[in-house]
Amino acid sequence: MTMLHLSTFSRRLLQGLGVGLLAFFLLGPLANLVLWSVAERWYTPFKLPVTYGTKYWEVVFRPTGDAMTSLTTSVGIALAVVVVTLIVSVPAGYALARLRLPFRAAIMLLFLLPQAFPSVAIYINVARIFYWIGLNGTVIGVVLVHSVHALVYSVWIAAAAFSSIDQDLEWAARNIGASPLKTFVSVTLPLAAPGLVAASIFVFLESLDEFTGTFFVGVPQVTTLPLLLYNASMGGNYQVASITALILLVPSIGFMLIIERFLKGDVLSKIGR
Amino acid sequence: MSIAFEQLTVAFNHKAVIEDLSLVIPQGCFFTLLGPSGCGKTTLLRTIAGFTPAEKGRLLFGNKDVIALPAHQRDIGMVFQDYALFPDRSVFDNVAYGLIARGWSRERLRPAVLAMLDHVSLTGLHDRFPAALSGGQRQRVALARALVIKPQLLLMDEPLSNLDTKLRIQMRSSICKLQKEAGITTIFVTHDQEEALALSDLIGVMNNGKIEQIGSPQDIYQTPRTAFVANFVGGANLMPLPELSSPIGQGYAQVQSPLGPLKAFSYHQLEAHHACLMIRPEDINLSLDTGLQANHLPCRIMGKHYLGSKTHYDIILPDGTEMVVHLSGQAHEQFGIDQSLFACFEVESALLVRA
Ligand SMILES: Nc1ncnc2c1ncn2[C@@H]1O[C@H](COP(=O)(O)OP(=O)(O)O)[C@@H](O)[C@H]1O
Ligand SMILES: [Mg+2]
Repeated sequence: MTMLHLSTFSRRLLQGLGVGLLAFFLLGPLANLVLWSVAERWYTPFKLPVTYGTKYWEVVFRPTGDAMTSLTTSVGIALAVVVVTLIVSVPAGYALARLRLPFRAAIMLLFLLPQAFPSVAIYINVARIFYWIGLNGTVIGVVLVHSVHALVYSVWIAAAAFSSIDQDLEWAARNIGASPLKTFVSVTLPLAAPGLVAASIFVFLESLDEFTGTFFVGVPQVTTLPLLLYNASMGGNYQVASITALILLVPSIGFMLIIERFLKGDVLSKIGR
Repeated sequence: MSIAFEQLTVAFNHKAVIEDLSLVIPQGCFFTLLGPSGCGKTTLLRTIAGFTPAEKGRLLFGNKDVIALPAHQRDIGMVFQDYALFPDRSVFDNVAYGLIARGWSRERLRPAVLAMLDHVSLTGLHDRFPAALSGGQRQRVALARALVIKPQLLLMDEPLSNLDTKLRIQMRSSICKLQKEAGITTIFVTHDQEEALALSDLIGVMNNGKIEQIGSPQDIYQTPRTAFVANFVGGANLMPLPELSSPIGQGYAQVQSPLGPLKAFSYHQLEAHHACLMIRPEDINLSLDTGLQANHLPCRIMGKHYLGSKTHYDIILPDGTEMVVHLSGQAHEQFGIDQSLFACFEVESALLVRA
């Protein structure tokens, strides 16, 4: 009995320690962000802000402010990236899942390739090429850069979503009179929807967070939220930087909750198969 | 609608799975493809349905070659082995799918779908989703979905293999009844010989992508043409024979076995090499003396398994050939392991088949 008690106690202790560490690493920085966002004045040697207030929140949310413009730009770009990647990854994912393509593994690798090189080196060259063809500093240029980056995830997840659908279901639909297109639209796509939604959410979040590519290709004309955050913290304006960071957190947390409900285990388990 | 294959060949990566298959199935026939797992039954069904392309050959529905027709224009209903019900659609919507694909309006298809559900004893279950159905119910939804479009041909790929024994026997008779009522030409695939014998008008026994024999259940069981058919349908003792001096015609024949001359019977023409003697386990009698039957071979009992209505004996002949004997009744109860006796059988029980 004592042994049992002891071991339960030590397990509790370990659990408590784990939760505490997690809280420290996750909530510590978060708490810092929240504090900074409401600190009107805060300087050393004070451990806490000197004056509290919502002045900077008002600055950020002023309709004419930089932050609102950046937010609109960021969301617009992220949505465009979602559309572009869906247009590529639905057919590509379906082909990878269903057709016995030669070099299937090689094709999957091709989509991984952009990840393999140091991204800064790539982006510098992309920026040069975009400069020649007049895409530098345009929203389209940024969307393209984000899309290539996002295709890694989206093609992979789409392929997993499609291969988790039993091909007999498509055959059953064909058998009783549905054309290939109708079968795809009425049987395959609805069953793949959760996976595709998950892929789109990842893509959306990735785009919202993307910094390096936007920095090389978009600056100075296109300012997304991460760039605004960067500019603000470089300029010593920690309040605006913190508020921007908090805004960036909202969709991530919201979508993570959705994904958790949406994604079936069998889709996740087929990723990269 | 009658179905015919002419020299149909289906290959994967240049390896033929179905080879030069020719076959005619008359209108309204319940045809069963019977064969072991991996012999190409599913491949053949998929080729008929239009999912797997044929390398060469013709596939005739009536007198129309459909080999180039896409799957959705072939007018076939298929029941898949794992049912393949749409998991995100209700029973009603599963069954309605084919009618919607044919452009039926909601008002028009509703009574047709409900009547079909009644017909397969699924009344009142139209709102359920497949996940909330039992195996037997899913099976019937799959059948209803295939039949509601009134196809020219019904294909079934081992539809009963996922059900437990009792349900399987129930479903067997309802499939039989539905097929006869609809008068629809049916190709049924199974590896279960009992199922094939119980359901079919005509059976094609398949082995390695080839059909070894086509015939009524009685033909297949009573007059097997090859050793494979004899063994696969009903089980058989097979004794390879040394090369014969001349081809064997139909009728009685005296053959030279490793254990001396035997009197046998042949239903089919046989070439001189490749002959084999086959005796059903229930056609052999064990006795202490040579008895009155035409053939008798000395043997020794190796094993005895009491099964209630009958007893199975494993016996061994002097040349090492092992055989199985099924005896019913009580007369043999005193036989024991290691006892030496005679295995006796009639001429008509000693059939010559192709090895
Ligand atoms: N898509 C495929 N690609 C390659 N070989 C296949 C494919 N489908 C079936 N086969 C092969 O064809 C043979 C027959 O398979 P199948 O028709 O499924 O047999 P059955 O239904 O009689 O069990 C098997 O050897 C199988 O490995
Ligand atoms: Mg099969």
